[in-house]
Amino acid sequence: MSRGIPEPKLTAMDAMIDKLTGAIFVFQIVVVMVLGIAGNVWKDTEAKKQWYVLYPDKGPWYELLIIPLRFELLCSIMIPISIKVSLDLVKGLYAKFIDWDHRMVDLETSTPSNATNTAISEDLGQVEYILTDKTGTLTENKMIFRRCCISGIFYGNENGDALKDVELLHAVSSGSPDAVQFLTIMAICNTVIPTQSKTGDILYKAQSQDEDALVQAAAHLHMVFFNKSGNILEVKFNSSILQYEVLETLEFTSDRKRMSLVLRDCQNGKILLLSKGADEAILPYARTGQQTRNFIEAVEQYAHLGLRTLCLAWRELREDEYQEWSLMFKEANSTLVDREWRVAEVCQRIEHNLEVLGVTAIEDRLQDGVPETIETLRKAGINFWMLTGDKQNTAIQIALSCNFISPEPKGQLLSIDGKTEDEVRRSLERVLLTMRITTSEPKDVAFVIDGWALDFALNHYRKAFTELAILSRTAICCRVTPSQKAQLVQILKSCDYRTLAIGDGGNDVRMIQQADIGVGISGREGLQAARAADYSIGKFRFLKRLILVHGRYSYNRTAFLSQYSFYKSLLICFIQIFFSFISGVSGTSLFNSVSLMAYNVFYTSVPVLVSVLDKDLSEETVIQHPQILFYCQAGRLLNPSTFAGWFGRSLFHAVVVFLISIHAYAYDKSEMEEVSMVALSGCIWLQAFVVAMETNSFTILQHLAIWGNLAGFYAINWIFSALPASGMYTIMFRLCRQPSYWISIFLMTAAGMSPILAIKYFRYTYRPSKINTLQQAERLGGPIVSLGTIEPQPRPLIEKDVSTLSITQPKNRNPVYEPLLSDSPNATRRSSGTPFDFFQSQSRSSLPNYSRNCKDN
Amino acid sequence: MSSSSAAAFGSADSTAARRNTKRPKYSKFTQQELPACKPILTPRAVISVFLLVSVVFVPVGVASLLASRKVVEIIHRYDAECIPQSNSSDKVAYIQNPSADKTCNITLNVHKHMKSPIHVYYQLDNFYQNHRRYVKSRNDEQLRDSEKWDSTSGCKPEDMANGKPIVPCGLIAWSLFNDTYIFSRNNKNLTVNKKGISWKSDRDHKFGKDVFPKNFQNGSIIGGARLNDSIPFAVSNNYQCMYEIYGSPLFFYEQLSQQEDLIVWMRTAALPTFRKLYGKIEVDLNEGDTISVILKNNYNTYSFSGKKKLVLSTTGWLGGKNDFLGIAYLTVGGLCFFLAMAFTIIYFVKPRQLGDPSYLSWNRNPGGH
Repeated sequence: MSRGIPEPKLTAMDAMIDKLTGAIFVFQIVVVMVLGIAGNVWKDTEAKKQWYVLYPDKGPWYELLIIPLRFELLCSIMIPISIKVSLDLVKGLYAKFIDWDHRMVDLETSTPSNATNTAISEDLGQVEYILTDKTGTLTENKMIFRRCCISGIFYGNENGDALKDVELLHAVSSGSPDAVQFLTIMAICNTVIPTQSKTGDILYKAQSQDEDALVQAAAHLHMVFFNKSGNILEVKFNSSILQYEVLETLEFTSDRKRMSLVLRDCQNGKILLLSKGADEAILPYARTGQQTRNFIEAVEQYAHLGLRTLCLAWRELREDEYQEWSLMFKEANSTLVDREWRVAEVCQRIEHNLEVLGVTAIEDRLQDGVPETIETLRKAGINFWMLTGDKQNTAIQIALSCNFISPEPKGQLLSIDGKTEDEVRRSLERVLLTMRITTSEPKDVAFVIDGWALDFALNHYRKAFTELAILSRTAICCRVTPSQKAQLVQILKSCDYRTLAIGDGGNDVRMIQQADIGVGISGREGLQAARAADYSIGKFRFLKRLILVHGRYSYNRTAFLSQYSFYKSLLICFIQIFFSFISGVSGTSLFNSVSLMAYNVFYTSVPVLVSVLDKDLSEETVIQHPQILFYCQAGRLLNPSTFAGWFGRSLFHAVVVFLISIHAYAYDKSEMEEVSMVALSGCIWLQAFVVAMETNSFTILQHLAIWGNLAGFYAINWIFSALPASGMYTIMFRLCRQPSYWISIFLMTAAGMSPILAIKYFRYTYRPSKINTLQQAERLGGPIVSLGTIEPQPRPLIEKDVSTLSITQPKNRNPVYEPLLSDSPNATRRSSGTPFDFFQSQSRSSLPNYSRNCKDN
Repeated sequence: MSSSSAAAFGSADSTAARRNTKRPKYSKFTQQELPACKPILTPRAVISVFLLVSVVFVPVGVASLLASRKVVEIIHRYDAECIPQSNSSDKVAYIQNPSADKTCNITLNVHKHMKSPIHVYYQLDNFYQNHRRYVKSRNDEQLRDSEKWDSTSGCKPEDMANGKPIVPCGLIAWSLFNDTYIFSRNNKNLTVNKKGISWKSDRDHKFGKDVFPKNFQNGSIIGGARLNDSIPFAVSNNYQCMYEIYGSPLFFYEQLSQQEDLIVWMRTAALPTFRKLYGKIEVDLNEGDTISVILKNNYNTYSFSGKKKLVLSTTGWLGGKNDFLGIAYLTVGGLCFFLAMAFTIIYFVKPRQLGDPSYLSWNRNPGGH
């Protein structure tokens, strides 16, 4: 597996915080320089006259640096060191909340979700593009044999299940040679190992889900593959037992796209070659003269239904032909250089002239809740790209059935294809042109591209393709290789989009590692993806919760926490700066070192830590109104302008605290330790109220932390005031006995908070953000429009609907194939407002217009 | 890897057991479902808060203002008038001349009855006791502990004199204020009680009972006051005394914990304008009384044009005379009342339904705030 070396990931938020830190650093340097110069000027003009300071007449040259350096020391608290620690703590907790979340436990396999990377939860709330694998991610990767076409006869079209098709059962029981041969290939042309359980049941261990499905289906049709001992395969057909000896296995590779078995029929000693594989890997090698048109049609029809197809073929080998080839094969197998290529080449020599028997169609069911999840996340403004190794038609059908693309006329699917570079270029330009025109229209335009064309596009027309990628909200890329998946992620990332890649298999690992956020589905294809990913979840539908609930909350909480950290550091620093103006610009610290340390470590970091429990909106509201994620995606809660607000707030509070302290504690009360403690108390009270005002939901823990911290502040200071050795000895006791202390503190709190409350109230009521409106609606129990639960309900088997509808237009060449949008309850809900507005939808879906039109902005 | 098979159902028991172990533990905390109170800013709540604040703040403000107004204060600036006319051209030279007579007579008129205890303060303006060089220039260990008499770290440049450590060292002690006042009313001496003017905690714990000044004000430049060498031996013989010979003359020093002027002085002020307690007059002063003060104008504030004031003040429950709190309370209370009114008017003139879904139009770019 080609795992790259994963780079450490940095969230957009961390980058923003770093940027703001940088800005503060610059501000700090400016302040230090200005104050340093002012200090030196004051020293030379005023301090020389202050005889009690006893400045030497002439100091060494570095004397000039002392005052600036003192200010640097004083202002170093401007950049909150505690922010890193606090952020690490809360990020760890965000990750734990994901691990703990009961609603993200896959009940089938009882796998809880897991956040491997604990540092990037905020990015989840800022995702703009989701790149998803198809098989095993959108689908269950639980293959079920549904239909087949044997020698041009279609089975299973009527009832959607070939195993229940009377005609097929009849054909098998009557011993039609084609049908029996077809079943034989289904049963034994694989690498499945049957084991017998104690109860006599046969269990199959298969590498591939498709093979498993075929063997199961064959067993259902009385061709039971029940034993494999060494090279002998034993198959029970009806009551007779057939034995085959495996001579060679021509393994499946993704290049060859087929696998074959050379075996000897022990009944009559004939040597047979059995093959199965993708249509383009089998049909071209059909025996000359065989009509493959039937099969091509079958493959197309099945693909339109979103089924996975395999072609089965065989031929008899002559003894000498086999012996001759066998030697070459052994030789190829034992070469050291380019073995894979050599083996493939040798295999090619025998896999020709095949008698194509038929086509199997295997259904890979969509996972529960996939359409709803995609619908919700698209409403949240997230763009989806599907990157799959599957056929284009299969991919398009899956895309349609899971709301990925909308059917005509609401949606439009543009195809980029072409066999040559020139064709690809023209196609790409055409699509780009259409895309440019239609961007203004309220239409879901998507493009579909296959691996071949993508290769040209990526290598030669990267610029055009990048533009296309920006314009297009949806894309389907078929037949792509793992490295192409990673390249696509790279393109989106280079346009500064936050990308999330989700996949389940080893072929998704590179994409997962490349993306800003990698999500792995711990599914049937093993844990490779889940291990490489930042988050692993059991089912695709958990993505909704992961992004809308965990991602959004994480973003909101970090936005508050980080800006608050800046606020409280700036607050105390501004007070120090103001104090320097009345202390001869000499760099005196108003606060003693114990207070400063405790201010950062205890008083201000504890209350804000419980903001990890804050919820601005309830989870249900967020999921009903996923559009609200926009605020996170656009970074509305943490950006230079919100930061400017916090900066202004800290400046204002510093002015309030400072002016009140020095005026209330003037003249005979202007004792240093007391003034310092009054100012510190003012800061603590203000910050407690600031946290309280910015908290949206108070749990008991919040109350404990905010008001307990305030009490803790007094407790700690009483302890210090009881220690004769400390500089603060008796200070707090003295202050607490003075009415003027309490009066000053309440004055600071009221003067500091009332303008903020007024502004907040005004905005909240007269310029409400969407978040505010939803909060009001949610808490007043107002007309919050309910969509009903979006949690997936037990889904009626969608394949039935597919089968009944699909037959009507099997040859429709329109790339967007409408009938698949079936009327399962969920499908009804999601299609309300589209031309497929079923009767119930009016009554069932009370989804108002505004939430449907969200994407049109 | 391993797949399900036709016969792979029926092991429900074992999967259920596994589920229980693998599933994360449930608690309201881990599910972020702790019961929460979610207040919102309804007009009623906000307007009530503002009204409540104004209702509380206005009376408190009035009370504070009354308390401050009730305090009687006599402030007399004397730094200019206590320079003889002949020396007014060079005040600094005068004040630095040790042989000049620094005595100065001033009179204070009591314009309102003053209830005892009356605090006597000296007020210095433009004096930076909070200057970093100054505020750090002390050694608390040395002040507390007689064993540490030679620890003078942080006291530079007043740490050593004549090669010996100074006790108490540092700029603060060195620049001790040394103006003195003698009050008399109607030619009768008014006693100023100088005991208990410092913090008791300082006397008990910060300044040692067995720490005596050593080598103080013996350097080349005399800063401020000497330490109570003026106290006659006879008066102080009930104190522990120390007899020390640093050449002649002989000095008798009092222990530091009794040097209350020093203790008061060493509680540095945070502001460049400050008052320090000089003593207390423990009799009432009546309206119309004339207090004459004989003061020694020793302390040099002239070189940095600082003012010196003598302040007599009574105290109320809020301390000395300070209108700030009262005015600030009235301002904030009034502001809150104004806001409450304004919001009420806006509320009635332009009512706005909270949580109106028509504001939720996602069509518009969710701009604004």
